[in-house]
Amino acid sequence: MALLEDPEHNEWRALSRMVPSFAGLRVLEIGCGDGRVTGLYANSAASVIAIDPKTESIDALRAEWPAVDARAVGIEGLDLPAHSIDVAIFSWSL
Amino acid sequence: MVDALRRARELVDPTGCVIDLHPTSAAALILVGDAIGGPVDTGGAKGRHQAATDAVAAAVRDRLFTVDDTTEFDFSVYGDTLDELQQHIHDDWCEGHIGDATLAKAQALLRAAPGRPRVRERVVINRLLRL
Repeated sequence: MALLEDPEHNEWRALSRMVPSFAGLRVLEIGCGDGRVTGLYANSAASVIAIDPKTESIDALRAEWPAVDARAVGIEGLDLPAHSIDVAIFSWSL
Repeated sequence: MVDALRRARELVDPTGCVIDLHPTSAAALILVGDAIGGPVDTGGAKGRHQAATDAVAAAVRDRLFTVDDTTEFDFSVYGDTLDELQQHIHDDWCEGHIGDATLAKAQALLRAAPGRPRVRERVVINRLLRL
């Protein structure tokens, strides 16, 4: 058996309390890593941009979530228009 | 860190929100069942986690955001063995390891009641609204 992360789904419950529905929302996830948190909402959001400076993490996320716009960049280097996001998530990355 | 929050504020629509998830500065623990083996040696991580908390407080103080909601939860990673958890901490955490005392106590707990060991962190989540 492999490592088992948060089988109690506490993270999902907490995120759902903060954002009850991602439907129709444009999401930016900062410090996405390999996409563990991304997977909690990616299927329901209107669009997802996921960023992380680590190229290998972004490659892993792309493989798992091809519909996500995954970019190997930090927030300081991210080129996006102002007010173009509905929810920005600092994913264990602040 | 406050600069990152400031940049996020620029990107988020005025009706949107920023979600911050980060571990608290409480000790990460090794457990077997609900029995505590001991803390994980996390090096400088405790200071970084406190800095994240301080950054949110500073962003509120600077009137960038208001904290609209906040809560804490436990996040556990289970392994088949303590070695597997040790490897996970080595690979995925910025720094940290299970020290000898915690390892010995956790091994004793596993001998007494076999099960899956886990590492448990306390995590805070905040919903921030633009001001």
